Amino acid sequence: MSAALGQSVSLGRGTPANASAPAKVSVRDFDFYYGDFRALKSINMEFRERHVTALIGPSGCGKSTLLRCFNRIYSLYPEQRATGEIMLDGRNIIDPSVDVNELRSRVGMVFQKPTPFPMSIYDNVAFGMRLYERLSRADTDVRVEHALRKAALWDEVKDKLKNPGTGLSGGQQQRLCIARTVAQNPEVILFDEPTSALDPISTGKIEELLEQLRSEFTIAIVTHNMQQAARISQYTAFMYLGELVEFAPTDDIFMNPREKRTHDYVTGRFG
Amino acid sequence: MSDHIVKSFDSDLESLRSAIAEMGGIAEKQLGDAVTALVRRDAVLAQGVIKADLRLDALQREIEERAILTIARRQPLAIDLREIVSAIRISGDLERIGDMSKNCGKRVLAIADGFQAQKIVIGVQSISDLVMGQLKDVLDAYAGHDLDKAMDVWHRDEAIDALYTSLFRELLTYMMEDPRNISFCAHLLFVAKNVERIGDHTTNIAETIHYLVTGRALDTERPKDDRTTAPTIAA
Amino acid sequence: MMSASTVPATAAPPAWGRVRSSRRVADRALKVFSVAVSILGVAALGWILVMLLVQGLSALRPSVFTAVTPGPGTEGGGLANAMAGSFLLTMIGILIATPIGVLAGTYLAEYGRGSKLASVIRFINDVLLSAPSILIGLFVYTFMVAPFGNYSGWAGGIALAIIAVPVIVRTTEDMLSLVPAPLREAGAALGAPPSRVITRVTWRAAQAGIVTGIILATARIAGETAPLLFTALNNNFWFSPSLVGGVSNLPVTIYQFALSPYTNWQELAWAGALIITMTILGLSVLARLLLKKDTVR
Repeated sequence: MSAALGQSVSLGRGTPANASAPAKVSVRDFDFYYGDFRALKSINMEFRERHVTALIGPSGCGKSTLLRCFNRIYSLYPEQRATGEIMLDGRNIIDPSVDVNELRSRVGMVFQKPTPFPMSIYDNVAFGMRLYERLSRADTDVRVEHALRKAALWDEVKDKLKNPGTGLSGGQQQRLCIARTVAQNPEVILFDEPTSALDPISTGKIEELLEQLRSEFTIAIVTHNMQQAARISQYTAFMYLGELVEFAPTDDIFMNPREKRTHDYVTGRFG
Repeated sequence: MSDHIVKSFDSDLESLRSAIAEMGGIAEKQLGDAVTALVRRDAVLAQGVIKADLRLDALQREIEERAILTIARRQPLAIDLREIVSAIRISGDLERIGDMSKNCGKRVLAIADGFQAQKIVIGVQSISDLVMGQLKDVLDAYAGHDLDKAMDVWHRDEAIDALYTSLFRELLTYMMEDPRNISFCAHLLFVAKNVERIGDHTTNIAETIHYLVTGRALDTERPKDDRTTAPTIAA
Repeated sequence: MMSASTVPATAAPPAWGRVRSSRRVADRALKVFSVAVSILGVAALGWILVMLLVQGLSALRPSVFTAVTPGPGTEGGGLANAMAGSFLLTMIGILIATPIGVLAGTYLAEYGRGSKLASVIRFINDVLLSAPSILIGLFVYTFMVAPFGNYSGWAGGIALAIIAVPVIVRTTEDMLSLVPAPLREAGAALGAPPSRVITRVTWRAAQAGIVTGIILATARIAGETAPLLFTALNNNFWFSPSLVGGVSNLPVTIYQFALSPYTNWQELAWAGALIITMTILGLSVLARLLLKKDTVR
């Protein structure tokens, strides 16, 4: 008990924000356009290695848009384009010379609605790693089990790996998607409102999982749930109308924000 | 401060603030009455002071319950969370202040039938006036979220501590002068100590206001000038 | 100025009976009218089916499935060659149409989303979808029959394929568009190239719908008469295995036999009509079941 009291106090669990952790991803003077509409305006921020960074803000503020830039998933849609820099390990990933599929194998993504593929649980998990690696059956088995264990799903599905992934419950499907992402050994994982379609128990499991994953991956998460951001992240960025209003350690954003707009938003006074 | 989108959240916070204001009013009156009762040796007034404490205790419990419910219902953040935490803390301080005024009232009952020189109580009266001023100012500072005023109260407590030290010596002198004063002065010493403790609680409230307004705890140790504790007596 | 609470008080509406009776009458009337019209339509269809069953079943004999179509004035005979021919023509048509239709539909739904070319193709496909089938028969006639001076099963199959393609394109595109975008994004987010996402994820997700489209297209072309008149024509014998020359088939046989003065021909026409209708009905039911299974999932 006395040991617990001696530790520094922080909103989120685990170790608090560590400003000396190296930046895994740096965003510099970054702009994003949907056609002529400028959806992101001169964004500058860093995502620290092995930290959870939360992006919060009202609907349409650009937080999901920003998240979708880190794996260039926006390039599926020809009318969307980006300018500026997003540096990942010293390379600007916005540059067309960066192979987008290689980028995506390093930067995984989990979506709002669970997206299990119409195939077995096993094949779902193996999908990503089969893309760029030649694996023997035994190796695949090992990797699939490892990934499912990491996603805290193994015990629930180990006897029905051949069943379709779509037959799982919503929360299990989401953890399956996390397993699928983890199986690829990415360095960064992006979460786009991963629990907004889930019940509180499933949400709790995903949050617990995020806490575990943080020791290995750099995590960026978009969430509408401010308490969730306060619980799971070490850094928080508040965005509004395409601008980054405030970016600071999570404790500061939620207990003592500097900007009035941040303050009004986190205390529910917005608009 | 602009309003919350959820209007009932505003009324939750407003009711906390007004309950604190009511507690503050009662605590002020209690302290004032206790001192008046002492000066006049008024047993009836002293009884009233003791009774008023019941209402203060009830209010404190109510504030605590409401604060807990508001936290559970609204999951407040930033200023709202600090507002609620501050309400809990300040209501605790005010409740303790009430207890101490009640103690003063009890002492007054114990000495109400004595015939001591009025000059003996003047010292206690003046320290009480100082503390009354502190209490009033700190309650104003809370109502107006006035950091400067709160810090002023916090610094002024030094003077009260100094006054208490000299009052302690003064009362000792009276006791040595005339042993018949001993019992009376002993009671007065306790009254003075209680009043001085009330002063300490006003500085607690000032610290809470600092946290409420700035979001940070006041980390410097408050200058203490109470020399009546152990070392001096032992000397 | 006036807040909601100070709106001048109107007489409080009665607790019950707020709906005027005239409205209730109008409501009733519309309901009765729609039900009556539906019954009329279904009754007409039912009548056709009953006629078909009565006349067709009485004409149905084992020999219908074994014997060749009879010549003029000949007794007995069956529809074996016509049925086999129809089956072959339909298979040729659907086998040509399926890859073209599915790939074109995939282009429209996956690659060409929002592009000019895609919207032009989509428009032309819709025109083709509603083009009179006799025109398609004529079209194939001009470049596959007239130049060679010979009718053929191949020309017939291609004419049927041209009719089936737009149906398959349309259903494939629609079914692929129903696949939620996040599923594609999830595939892409794992680093899978579009070809892999389409073949492994979106096609699979839309599988039941696409197969249903193919089955419906099969049902559609199985009963087509007009395009065959100019291409496969018909004959009353076993057709040559090379499918060159006229290829006997059910729809045209029914057309010719029904108009003939011979009673045995007329009876065979009824039997053929029944067989074709039941086949199409069976295919439609199969399609429904497939779709249902998919949506239940």
